[in-house]
Parts: sequence; C-alpha cells; structure tokens
Amino acid sequence: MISALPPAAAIFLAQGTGGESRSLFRDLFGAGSGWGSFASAVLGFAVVFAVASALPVLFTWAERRVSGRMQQRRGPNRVGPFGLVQAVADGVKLMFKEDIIPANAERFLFALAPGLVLAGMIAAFALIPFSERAIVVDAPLGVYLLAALLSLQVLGVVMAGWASNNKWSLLGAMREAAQMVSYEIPMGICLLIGVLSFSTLSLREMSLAQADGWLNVGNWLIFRNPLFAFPAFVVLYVALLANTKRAPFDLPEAESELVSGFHTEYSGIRFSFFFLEEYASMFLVSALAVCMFLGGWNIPFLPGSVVTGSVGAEILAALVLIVKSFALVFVMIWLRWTLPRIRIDQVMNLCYKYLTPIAFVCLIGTCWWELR
Amino acid sequence: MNRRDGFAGWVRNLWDGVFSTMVGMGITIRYFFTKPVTVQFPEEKMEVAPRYRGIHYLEQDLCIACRVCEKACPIDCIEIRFKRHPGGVNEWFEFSLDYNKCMFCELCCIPCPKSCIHEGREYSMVRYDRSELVLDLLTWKGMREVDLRTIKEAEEEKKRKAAEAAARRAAEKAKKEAAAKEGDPGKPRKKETPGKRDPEGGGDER
Ligand code: SF4
Ligand code: SF4
Repeated sequence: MISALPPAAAIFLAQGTGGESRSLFRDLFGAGSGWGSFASAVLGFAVVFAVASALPVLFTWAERRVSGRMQQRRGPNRVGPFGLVQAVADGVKLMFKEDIIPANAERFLFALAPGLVLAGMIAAFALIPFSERAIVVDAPLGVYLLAALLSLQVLGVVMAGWASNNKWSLLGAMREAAQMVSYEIPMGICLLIGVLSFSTLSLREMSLAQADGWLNVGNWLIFRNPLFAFPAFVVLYVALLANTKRAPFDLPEAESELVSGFHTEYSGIRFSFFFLEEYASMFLVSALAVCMFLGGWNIPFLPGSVVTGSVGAEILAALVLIVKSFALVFVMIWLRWTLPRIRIDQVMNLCYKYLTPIAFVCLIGTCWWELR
Repeated sequence: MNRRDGFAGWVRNLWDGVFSTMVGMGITIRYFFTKPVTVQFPEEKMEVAPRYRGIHYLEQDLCIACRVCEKACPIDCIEIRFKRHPGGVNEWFEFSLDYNKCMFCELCCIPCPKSCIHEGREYSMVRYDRSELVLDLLTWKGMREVDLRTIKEAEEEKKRKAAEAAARRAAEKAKKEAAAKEGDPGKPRKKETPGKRDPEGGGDER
C-alpha cells in the first residue's frame, strides 16, 4: 500500500508547481476554485496513471514482437490477436506471485523503492503536453521539473539496491548511480540547448514555438538549427537511453553478470513496478525528446492553423505526438537488439569523453546560432 | 590496431562508433523485414527425413502373426496376443508397442517376413501418463466379416476333405473285403454302401 502513496504525492507536487498554468483538466473544472483544482488534480492523476500503465502493456508486446522479428522468430502470438494480450496475462501472473521480502532486507526502504521509482515516472507524465490543451499540468518550469523527476529514479534504484541486502542488487544500484549521475551532464546540456533556443522552460510553449515554418517542419529544432541541434538531439537520445537503463546501457540489471541487478530480490507486484517504470519511461523520454527537438504535437506538412481549437484537432495532435514518440521507442528497441551491452568503463568513456564535449560544443554553437 | 591518439583518434573513434552502430542497425532491420523461420509446432510440422524412424505402423492385413518382430526386439517392447483359427485366420487381441522403452532401432522391422511393420514419420508423442505410451498398433481387433467367411469356408473345406478321406478309406476297405471274399461278391456290399453314402453325397453336392 505504501507503494501507492508516492505517485499521489508526486502528482500533487507537480500540480502545485503548475501555478497559473492552463490545462485541459483545469478548463473542465474551472481554474481558481480550490475544489476544481483538486478535482482536476485527481482526474489528471487518473488519466496519467491509466496512460502510464497502459503503455508498458503495449511496449512489452512491441519489444517482444520486434525482437522476435529481428531474430527471425515470431514473438508472442498466442494470447489474443497477434499476442497483444500477452502483457496483460503477464501482469496478472505477476500480481498473483508471492511478494517476498528477504529476511535481512531493510523492510521500509525495500517497500518504498519501487513506489518511488514509479512515482517519479508517473509524475513526469503529467508534464508532457500531448496537445495544446491536453496536458495535465503545464508547469512554467516544465523541463527543469522533468529532469528532476527523471533523476528521482536513481534514488529509488539505489534505495532498492541497498535495502535488498544483496551483493548483486548493490552492485547494480551503484552502477545505476554512476551511470545516471554521469549521463545527466550531457542530458542537461542538451535540454539546455532546447531551453536556449526557445527561451522557455515550458514544454508546451516549446511545442507551440515549433509550429509552422517551411512545410510545417521548418521550425522543429533539429531543422531550425541543423548544425548544432541535430547532434544535440542524438546526444540527448543516447543520454536518455542511458537514463532509462535500456540496452546497451542496461548495466544496472545486467542479467549475465548481476543476475537481475538492483531488482534481483524483487518479485510479484513490486517487480512489476520496476518493469512498468522501464517501459513507461521509454515513452516518457521519447516524448520529451519529441517535444523539444521534433516539433511536439505539430503535424508535418500541415499548417498549424488548420488543426487548432476543436476537440478533434486536439486528439489528432495528441496522436501525432504519440506516433512520433513511438518511432523513437521503436529505435530504442531496435538499438537494444542490435548492440551488445557495453562495459562500465566504456559507459563512462562514452559519457565523459564523447557525449559531454559534443554537448558543450553544441551548446556554444547554439548560442552563436541564436545570436547570429 | 594502431593506437588512436589525439584529436584525430578521437574523431576516428567517434566515426567508428557511429558507423558500426549504423551497420549493425542495418543488419537487424533487414532481418526485421524477413519472414520468420518459426514453425508453429502443433499446427505446422517440419518435414522429416525420408528414412526417418518414427512411430511404427503395422499393415495388419499382411501380418501373419509370426512373432518374429516380437523376438527380434532387443528390449521386448512388442507384445502380440492372438488366436489362430482355421484357414490361417488370426483373431487379433493385441499388438502393442511400449514407447516408454522403444529406442526406434528398427530391428523389429528388418526381419519381418512380410515386411508389414514399419517405422513411420510421426514423431509427436506427448502424453499425460506413461501408461498412455503403450500404443496398440492394431487397426482392427478380433475378426472381420471376411475372416469369418474364410473360417467357415476353411471349416467346410476341412469337413469335405475329411469326408472325402473317409469315403476313400471306406472304398479301400470295401475293395480289400471284396478281394478277401472273392467267391461271393456284390450283394451285401451293394446293399450297405448306398445307405451310407447318400447323406454324405448330398452334403458334398450342396
Ligand atoms: S524399434 Fe527397436 S526397440 Fe523399438 S520395437 Fe522395434 S526392435 Fe524394439
Ligand atoms: S514379424 Fe511381421 S509378420 Fe511377423 S508378427 Fe511381426 S509384423 Fe507380423
């Protein structure tokens, strides 16, 4: 039960920092009044939670199907059409598994860690602008808050590793800490490039700023500033890949070395929290990259003025954002089944010797580009 | 490989990393668009080799129940139970093969005089219990219409032959008697024989 509290707390936190911002749910309940704000927070939480838990279902299926096809297999195809319901079956199985807490574990932290990890992820979902108004909370400090919530995961993971009282868990957690702290540098710099270009920290305003332009893609950051924003986008993507602990950066849970890394001791529903978090954060970081570099919800080749205002347009815009994010998620899956896991020294090498300098060059270049 | 120092080395490393990732991704995406090679087992089956030795099948019509296969089997998997009837007809009770033991060596099939036991191409044999792995190879049990007819014919044939033999013996006996009593032929014999022969003769002609 304790695992359910942090998400709620996190969403209220996110709501609180929203300040005077507009959002679909606030519009529904009327901004300003205390109860309206509370109701919109609850509804927002419900929607975000539904989305955040529905996506992993889709992604685990996609991951297994795609990896199957890449290895000339078929992947799951028994449960439901094309095996689509497989993830639901797996989820049900996980729920009915015994919830084991190791005898020497630090019980409180052990129980808190999965909730914390999931909480950060779900709260971060509230900040993604699916369309101009379909956003749970449009925080003026959106990017900053998102980066903070993404790094909340590392806390949960280290907590899990420490509380498990298991050498594999601890090693995995330490790797996670090292990796996350390192990769936050290039990630932060790349986010800064987006902030610099649009002079705003709000993801919604960034997406708005990328509307129109040549063929309606000209204002996307990677096309607007191709010389520096494109490498920055690639660097950000790699850093986010490391942030989600996805292969080839899955050192914290390296199966062949650390059994299962930081979640070795977790089972049942607690394990599924980590699992959920991994797959939902794949979408989350993809959506972040899309909002900042790939034009957010803006539809390519279709002038923005055509699709604003009506509810249908909002839904279309949300679908566009989702499709763009899915494309990035597909690349993540594609990369995972292409590259082998790299060593921890190579991870650090890549971060400090390659990504960080490139990110800095891009940052300086962007400064020049914007002042030009 | 030569050492990669300085800025040029850095650039080369970067290029190699990006390039090799691209090549790898090219390979995986190519396989992504190829057809899976999976055979969906219970629904589809792989074609086995022409001389594959799988579950046996018996051409029961040819089998003469000579028990050679039973004796040839090195681990006594085969059990044959039958009853021999007149006319070479076998009433089948059992021709079972214990697949718990069978090693598919084909030694039972080689010596069969009628070449009527074979190892087939069927290989899937999933059962819930060991006892279910003792398969009966008989396609029909007991006797069939044809066999019943054959037995009847055989019995009649036997009866006829017996009767013929009896008649022949009687005739020979009569001849001998006749030879012994040369002086008085005909009368007692002629009176006896038609009375004895008539019912038999009638049976023969029917
Ligand atoms: S294949 Fe070999 S083991 Fe099997 S029944 Fe025939 S002789 Fe016996
Ligand atoms: S050896 Fe052939 S003919 Fe003889 S009993 Fe076996 S299967 Fe029948």
